[in-house]
Amino acid sequence: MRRTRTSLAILAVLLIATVALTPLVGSSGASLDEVYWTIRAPRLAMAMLAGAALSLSGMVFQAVFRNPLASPFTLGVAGGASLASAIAIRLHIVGTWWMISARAGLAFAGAMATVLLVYAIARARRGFASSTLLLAGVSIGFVCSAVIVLIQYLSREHEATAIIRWLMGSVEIVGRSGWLAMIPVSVLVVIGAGLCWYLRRGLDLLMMGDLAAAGRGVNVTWTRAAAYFAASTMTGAVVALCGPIAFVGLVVPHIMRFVLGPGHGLLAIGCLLGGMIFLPTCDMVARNLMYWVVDSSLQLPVGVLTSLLGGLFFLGLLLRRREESPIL
Amino acid sequence: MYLEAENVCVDRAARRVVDGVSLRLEPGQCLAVVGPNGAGKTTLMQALLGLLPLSDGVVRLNGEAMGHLSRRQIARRMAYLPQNYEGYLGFRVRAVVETGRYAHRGAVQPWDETDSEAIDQALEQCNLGCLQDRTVEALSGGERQKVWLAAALAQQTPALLLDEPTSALDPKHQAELIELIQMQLGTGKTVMLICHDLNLAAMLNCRVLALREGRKAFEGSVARFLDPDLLRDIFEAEFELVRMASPGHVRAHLRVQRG
Repeated sequence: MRRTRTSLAILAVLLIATVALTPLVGSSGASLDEVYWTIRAPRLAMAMLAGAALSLSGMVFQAVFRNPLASPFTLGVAGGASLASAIAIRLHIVGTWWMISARAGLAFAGAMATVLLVYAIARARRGFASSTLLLAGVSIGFVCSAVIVLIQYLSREHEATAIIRWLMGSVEIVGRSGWLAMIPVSVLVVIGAGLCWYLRRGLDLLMMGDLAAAGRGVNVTWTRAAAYFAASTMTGAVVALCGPIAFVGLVVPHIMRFVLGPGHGLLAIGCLLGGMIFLPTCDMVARNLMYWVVDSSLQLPVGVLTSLLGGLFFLGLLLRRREESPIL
Repeated sequence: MYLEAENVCVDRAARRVVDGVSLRLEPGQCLAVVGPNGAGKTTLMQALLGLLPLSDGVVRLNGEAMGHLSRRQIARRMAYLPQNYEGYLGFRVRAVVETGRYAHRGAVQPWDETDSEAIDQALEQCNLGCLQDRTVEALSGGERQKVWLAAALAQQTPALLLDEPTSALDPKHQAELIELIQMQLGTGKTVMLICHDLNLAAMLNCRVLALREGRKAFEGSVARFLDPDLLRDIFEAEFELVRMASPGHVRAHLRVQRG
């Protein structure tokens, strides 16, 4: 109990530090005032929103599949969004409707189409068991990747580059249109996070096995489906705007499970806070790394850094893994 | 609480695993389901809990068809101890036992005093008080089985359905589990259990339902069940009966012939 309170207090302090400090770090020709509100503040907000949503979805997917390596992208949500986005780039579909750009709208539609397709396949195979869902999602993900490669092959060079940049993931959004674009995403993330919070006891029981959960009064099929839709909606909304930012949904829930324990009530709060700290910090480093090291103004995409950190993190876990522990 | 099943049939992978079984479980009764491996014992129990779709027949709980009840309503009347635990072991003992209260509270309602009393009582009955802050993975197989049982007890249901509760336990933990079941029967709970140990049914003085190839092969008192000819027909193995010192008590021993 005391350890929990201390951990939450540390997370809160780190979060305040992240909000206060990360936008101040960096070089620019213009004055900080200008840069702050048009570039760095929206970028910080986007990174916090994306980090929180991806971490929470990762936690939910790991519970639903009882698998430590499940991530928000395991079921092809990112694949569907990326495919739709690649099509939008290749066919030069542009324009803005209300506050949503055509590309982000299409990417979200692609993500949701994948979600429904995977769900329909799993349903048709009766039972909505986690293994069926997993196989359906992974297969759809592979199909999407294949088509994306085909589109890249058929693209002109600058289109292919745009697609690759999108696939790397970035939280770079600018100015007023950036702030506005975040509104629909935040709404979807808040709804999804609320549903995950509502499902937290059901998720605990799903982790204890389908039979145990059903015996305690959990409607396993409904809970798994609701958790899947909630997490996928959050992921789809974020990916539509930022592209697939890898590993956030894996690294943060693992660290939080280690710090706060596996109960999904506390863990959900931890994942939200942890995501809001982790991704902005990574983004700040990615923005400035080349400047610090070789004095270049080149900014790395944040997805490269999170993937690098994530890979090393899992290698570290593997090397000091305890025997017989089903979640790393 | 009473549970009745009429002509229950369950198919799994296009094979009829339970074939036309009817039974009635009265309040306060102890029913042991026995039979060879693959006779359909676990499938029958899961069908009675509404966990598997029936191909034919009906299961009623207090006269209401199982299909009309929510999982939560069922879990307030019957607690289930599955045979194998397939889940994550990183939870603390108390957190596992807490899940027994899920059916009594909504998804968001905080635990109240009745819940913490039920949890404390279940922990105490299973002698887990001093282990409640340990994680399950740090416990032995016997202790883990007590944790799962404690979670089922925290459900505070009129009926307990236990799938091989004492298999794979050492003698000490077997004795503890059997005492716990006896205690539950003493408080008037209904118990249905699956067991391979015929003497467990004799010790608990259960009614016996024997299954063979999905069909009911015998139903009646354990005294009538412990008959060498009947046992040979059901299990295809030879048994000899041993009379215990206390009158009326008989135990069955498996006879192994060497070639």
